[in-house]
Amino acid sequence: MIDEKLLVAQLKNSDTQELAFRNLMSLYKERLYWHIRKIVLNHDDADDVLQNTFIKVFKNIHSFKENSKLYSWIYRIATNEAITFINKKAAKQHIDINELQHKITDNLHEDLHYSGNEIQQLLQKAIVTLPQKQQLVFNMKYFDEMKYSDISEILETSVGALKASYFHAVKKIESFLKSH
Amino acid sequence: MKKEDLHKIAPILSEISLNNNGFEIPENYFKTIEDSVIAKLKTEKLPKEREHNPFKTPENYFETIEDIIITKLKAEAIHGKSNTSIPEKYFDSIEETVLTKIKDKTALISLRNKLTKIIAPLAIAASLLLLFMLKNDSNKITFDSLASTEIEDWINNGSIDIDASSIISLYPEIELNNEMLSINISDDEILEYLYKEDLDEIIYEN
Repeated sequence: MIDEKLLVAQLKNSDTQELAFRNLMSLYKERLYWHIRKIVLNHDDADDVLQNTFIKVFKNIHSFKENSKLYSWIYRIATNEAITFINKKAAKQHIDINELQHKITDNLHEDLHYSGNEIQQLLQKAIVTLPQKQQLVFNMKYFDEMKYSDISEILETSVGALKASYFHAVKKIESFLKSH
Repeated sequence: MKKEDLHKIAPILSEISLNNNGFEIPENYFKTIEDSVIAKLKTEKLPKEREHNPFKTPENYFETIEDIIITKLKAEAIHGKSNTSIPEKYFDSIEETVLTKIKDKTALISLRNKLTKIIAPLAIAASLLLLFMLKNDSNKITFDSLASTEIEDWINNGSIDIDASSIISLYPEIELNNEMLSINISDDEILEYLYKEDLDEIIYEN
């Protein structure tokens, strides 16, 4: 069990900051990466967002008020960075975010860092038909198997709303998979 | 939602493997990401040289520079107008005029050089041959039969008048001091030089 308070104290101390930061990255890099990857879909983009996330955490550690878990705070930063990234990418191509996600999932089979089968690719296509927040809820619950309480802290949404959102997401996806 | 509940409402979804959602990463990616982030942070900390510009300008320079340039341009325009008038399109044709003159001069010089190169040696050879023919009884005289020392003796004795400038024109690549050709030294001047200078020193030097 990680002593979050100690880690935060070390991160805020310039003498121990670098070592503590490396420790932080070691603890959260994989979880954060996969969370980001499910949003941006592409490895190179996920790599950029992950690095930006850690840099933002490092630069803003002094503003972390410790009224939530460090993990939730970092996860929130990662989520915001990923959504901002994908929105910017869509804007550059003069399309909206939904159109961009459809474009990416339609061409997943061409991605060098994707080896999913037909049904797995179809699932990704189904997910991007959901509203943005619902996609996050579905991914965090279905793939990451996170607790509703943790998702609630990250997305700043009540547990009840999250449960309802997840239920509807599952139904829509099943319907999509059946029809395709 | 429990797995059995998921299977009830979404049987197809529940069958899809969670272990591999299809996404892959490059080999050793997670081993190198930390170093990449640290390197990026350190790069950001480096001083940005372009933000510190050590060069300064005089006070109010950018407020006055436009007026200075306009004034200078006006002054140049006025100065240009006071010049003596020149023929129309003078500057358009001047290059052509100069080039044409250079070509004509070059042709003249070239022709003169060619004639000199051909005629001078022929003249010298003809003179030498004529003299030998007159001097000798032998019917057959050729340049091959003449020793070079005999030719030199004839030249040194003044039997053949060879213009030094003609010889020089044959060998333009050899540079001579023009003064040496034009100076006439009198006998008195020679004697005076000989008395003044230490001949022994000159002889031993050479």
